[in-house]
Amino acid sequence: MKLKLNYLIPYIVLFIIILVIGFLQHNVVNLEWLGIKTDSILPLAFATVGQTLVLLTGGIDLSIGGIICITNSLEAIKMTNNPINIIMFTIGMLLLGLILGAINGLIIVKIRLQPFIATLITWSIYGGIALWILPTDRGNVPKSFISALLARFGGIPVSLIIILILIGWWVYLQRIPFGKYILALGSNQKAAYLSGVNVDRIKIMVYAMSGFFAACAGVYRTAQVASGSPTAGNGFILTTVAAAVIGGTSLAGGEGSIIGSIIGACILKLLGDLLVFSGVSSYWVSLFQGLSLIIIIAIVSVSNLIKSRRKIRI
Amino acid sequence: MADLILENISKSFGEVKALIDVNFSANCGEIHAILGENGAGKSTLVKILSRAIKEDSGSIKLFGRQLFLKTPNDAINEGISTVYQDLSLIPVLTVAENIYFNKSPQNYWKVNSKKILNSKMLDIFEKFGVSGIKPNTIVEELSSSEKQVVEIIKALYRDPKVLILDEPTSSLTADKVEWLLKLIKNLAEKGKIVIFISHRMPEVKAIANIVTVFRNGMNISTMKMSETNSDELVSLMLGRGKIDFFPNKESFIKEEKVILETRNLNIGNVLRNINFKLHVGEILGVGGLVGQGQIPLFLSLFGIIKAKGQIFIDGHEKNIKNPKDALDNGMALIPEDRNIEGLIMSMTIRENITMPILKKIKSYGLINYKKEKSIVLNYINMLKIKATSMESLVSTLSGGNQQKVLIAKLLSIDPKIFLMYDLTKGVDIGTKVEIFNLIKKLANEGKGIIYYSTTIDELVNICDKVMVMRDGEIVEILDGKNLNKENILKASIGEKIISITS
Repeated sequence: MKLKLNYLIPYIVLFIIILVIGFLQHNVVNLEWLGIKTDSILPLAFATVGQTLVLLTGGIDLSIGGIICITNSLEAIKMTNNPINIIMFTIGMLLLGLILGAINGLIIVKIRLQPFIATLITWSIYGGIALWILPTDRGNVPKSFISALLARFGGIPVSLIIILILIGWWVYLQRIPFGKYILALGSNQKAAYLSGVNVDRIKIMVYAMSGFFAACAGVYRTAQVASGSPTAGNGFILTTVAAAVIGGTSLAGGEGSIIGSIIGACILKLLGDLLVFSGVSSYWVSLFQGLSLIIIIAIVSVSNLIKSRRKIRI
Repeated sequence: MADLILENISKSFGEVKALIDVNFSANCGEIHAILGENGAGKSTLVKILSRAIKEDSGSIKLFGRQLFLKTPNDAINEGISTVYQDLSLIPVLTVAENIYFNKSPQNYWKVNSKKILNSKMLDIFEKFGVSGIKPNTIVEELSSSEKQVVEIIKALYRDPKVLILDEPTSSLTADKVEWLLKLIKNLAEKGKIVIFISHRMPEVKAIANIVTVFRNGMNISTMKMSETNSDELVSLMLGRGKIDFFPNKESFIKEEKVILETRNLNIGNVLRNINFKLHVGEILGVGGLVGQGQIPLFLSLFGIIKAKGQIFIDGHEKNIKNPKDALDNGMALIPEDRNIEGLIMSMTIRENITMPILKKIKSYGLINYKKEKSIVLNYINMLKIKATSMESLVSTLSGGNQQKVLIAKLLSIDPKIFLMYDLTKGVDIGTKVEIFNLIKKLANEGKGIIYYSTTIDELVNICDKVMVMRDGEIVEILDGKNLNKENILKASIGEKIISITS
């Protein structure tokens, strides 16, 4: 397969951002910095991975906001400082995410609601449950839980290992039928259905996975912030979509990759950092972030345009 | 000079020439029937007259004055009203709102008034002798026959000078057909120009004064109805062009074993009492005019829509609920639209071909790429698919090669029964020949094939047997000496066939 320029753009952009950060701040870009960054990126990366799977099938998942809120809130207030309790509780949270996500899938498949509407509804419900569990930001997070998730193995952060695992999982996904079915569903659901693909089951599985990854994000955020917030997840909803799009995922479905999405998440996070470094007032960060996003997405679309022009000429 | 004259009208859709330099004229007080096979150009001509599409060249004259129509509304204002074959009603509005769509009556406050509207509507219904339809019924809730009546009234209430009816009777119930034919005669007597397209020969014979036959986008002949007969019309519609790229029609030694059988398949009015048997090694053609239930038949066999009745495969009754069940039972479908239903354009040749068999080529949980490649390569060579590599996107291939990829995809699952819906649509002649030979080969290997085509030539030359469908029913099963173009067309349009018992 030929390596196409537009697939490379997110990587080039990320590389340039890191270069500029290194240039602006000497001796900052090192292993320790990498650890801090991957720690801060991981929740978004998790949520983006889930969102990407859904986007690839041609859907969208707004409810990840609510799922992050619920898992973050529960994890922050209900855990005790007992290793077995911590492990069991965390696994419980991940399963909860899986179930809440599967509910999305069931609503979309059985009631035939648009994914946007279905997950808008469940976002509101899940968010409401989170507020009921934890009306204000607080938490009592066990120290051992925090240190386990933010640990370093010989300088290598757990978060980096997890990101590498996610990348490996995507490579695996492309080698099994399930991965192909996801892409097929997003490109042409009718053709996939007529090829004997169990469209409904794949959809439910994909939304369940998205819920699972949102729960991962919620759990990891608990360790990162050492607190719980019933509204923490809401900022993730559109950011995950933006990260996926920057990483080359098509909102129409059928095109994109989890690796690209993780790169997209890195770009979003580091771009914010860079703007703060370069002295942009924090009131202006959002504006500049938006402007930079337009530029990045424009570059990607222009190269797509050139590609399609070339195709027409043939 | 005739009252309505169309001069040198030409129209192409891309490469396809729909109308070639057509001249057509009609006079006040006449019912002018247009006949022709599927795709002969009848509907295109009508759509140009009603300005639904624009001609490439040519001119239209009405009562000696040249018309320059820009929008369908211009045509209506010139007094040209059309009853379309595909209904043009808005389902969520009421009957009255649909008919008065542009000029809804307003009350003193300049607000659309339902009261005035409905009472006006009742007057119109009375004038045209319509009964049983209420003005304030939502169109969605009407039967298809009632919808067609509303469509007809919509064209009539404006008091047009030219009334065009494009197969108006195909969805009407018998009593409404009688009502319409009477109405049309009445209008003609009042001096209107009526242009009537129908595939039903008895109707045409009953009411038309003049008949024009179209073939391959050309006006072949215009005659008085009283000076011709059905045999002449049928042979004019078919033409005598000889096409000799079909494989030799040898008589295979057919096995008696039935591979697929249906008993009383029914879907409301669209599919009625479908009974047939497909034998091992048989190519069973499905013919008839477009939209006579062929699509529902294919979809219900493949489990996409649910039909009442029984389907037997190898003598066992099967309950086929979805395409997966159909595939598991050894059936494969070439769908109607390969771009939308058959292939995934953004994926490669390899990915498309192996999509249905991914689960079968796994080893240790992973897709076995080597196995996948060898399967795909085998089909690329066997079907002579022209592409730079198996990693080429399907969207970059020509229509013929895309169809070959689709065939390869079906072959890879090794089905016993092929359902082929208009396999040669948009395929070049060279590829057609290859496809025909492949179909014969599959039949020789003992597969059962159900083959639908809009081209009568193909049905006659490829199939062992052809069942002709009309109004959702199988009206005739032709084989042996009875299987010829004339009989297929005659059965399609409701004429008696000449049966030879051998």
